[in-house]
Amino acid sequence: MQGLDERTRELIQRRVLKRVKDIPSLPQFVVDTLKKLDDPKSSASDVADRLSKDEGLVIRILRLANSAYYGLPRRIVSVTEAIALLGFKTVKSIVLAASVYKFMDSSFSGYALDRGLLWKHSLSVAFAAKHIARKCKVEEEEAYVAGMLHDLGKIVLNDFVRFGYGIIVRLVEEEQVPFMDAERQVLGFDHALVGGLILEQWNLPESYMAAARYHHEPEAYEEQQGVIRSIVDVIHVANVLCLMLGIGVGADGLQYYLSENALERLGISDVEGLMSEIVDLISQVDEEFQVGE
Amino acid sequence: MAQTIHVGMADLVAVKHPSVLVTLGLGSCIGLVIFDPKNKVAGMAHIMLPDSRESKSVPKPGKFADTAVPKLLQELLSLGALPTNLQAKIAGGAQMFSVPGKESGLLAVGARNIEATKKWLEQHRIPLIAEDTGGNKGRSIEFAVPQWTLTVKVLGTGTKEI
Repeated sequence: MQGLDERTRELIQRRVLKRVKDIPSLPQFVVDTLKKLDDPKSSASDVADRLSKDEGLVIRILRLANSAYYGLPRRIVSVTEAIALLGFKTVKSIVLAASVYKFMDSSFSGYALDRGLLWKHSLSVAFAAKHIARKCKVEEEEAYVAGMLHDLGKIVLNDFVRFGYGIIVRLVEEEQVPFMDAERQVLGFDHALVGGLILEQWNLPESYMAAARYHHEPEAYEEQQGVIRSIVDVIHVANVLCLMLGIGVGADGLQYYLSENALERLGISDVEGLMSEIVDLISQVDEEFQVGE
Repeated sequence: MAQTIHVGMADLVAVKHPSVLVTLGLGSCIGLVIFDPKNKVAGMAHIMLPDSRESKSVPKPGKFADTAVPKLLQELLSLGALPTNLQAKIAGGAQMFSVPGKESGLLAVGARNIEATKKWLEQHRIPLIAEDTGGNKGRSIEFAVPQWTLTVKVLGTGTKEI
């Protein structure tokens, strides 16, 4: 295979790391808000006040909270109401999801993802993960956020994948290696690794980092038990099922492995039944996917 | 101007006027078109899974191959199609990579979707005249009425007409 020469690869690796470093952190008021939402002594209006600094963010939070998925009896118009009806825990994951929206709100042509598709995919994996987590007795909200964040590495690696696309695709086709392995061979990084680096930089809990890092290769995560093990497995399965359902599928397509061990560990035997449930679930949140308006 | 109609997940649409029927994002799912070129009637279904397992209520018959084919047929006939004129084309049914040495039937949803859709077409004596199925890539499709061409965009690769 005709690859990139050593010097080009080194240059790419340095530039990927530089781009990761350049990703802005989550705004301080969001970080503070997330802390507030963890503190049982906080008041709803306190949280709402902090968020009111960013009107766009509040609108996104309310759209997510009003999604048919949560089945609220009426349309809510304030963060205070969202907290009253959904609780701190759910609102916390919604705030985090809404905060990463701006990073995903563009097209990522290296992956052939039109504008909105990475958001749609991430949100769908988030809801699918929450659903699987509930069935498998894993922490739901943690699964939701991990799902939202699993593909974040694509926002950085996109330009480099576009650059090395011809070689990556040839490698996948001729040697039948997963798209991510080809990324790693050609660019020195893959989107899962880069996603893990971004989340590390954001100082988010380890489970989100591990889920991003290992979402295509759950076996590479060493721990055999524990909460993080389960979150990694849930995100792996949720992502694969969303890809099979064609939700936000891009140039990398279905060119990844599915770990049957992950299914086994979670105790999932009826894959088609689960896919069917996820179709119904995603149809409910469909209106959330209209972006750009 | 031909009207563009999006056929979402598990949806099914039949038309009797110039249109472009579009399905964006097929993974293991099947985009099925059935049409009667003489009476200028066509329909598209976005099939997600092979089998409804005879579950009593299927609110979206487009979701399963066994419910989508008869429902689409019924809608086409009600728009004036004749059973003997009908033809079909399909695209989709991609698979995840299988771990070497661990071929699993459990995950072969793409292959099962292709097989089930073909079986139900045959059952209703609708000839399948073109297909672009299998592989490991995502697809998007457009069906032009009344040109009867199915344009398949293989994501990240290119476009073909079948």
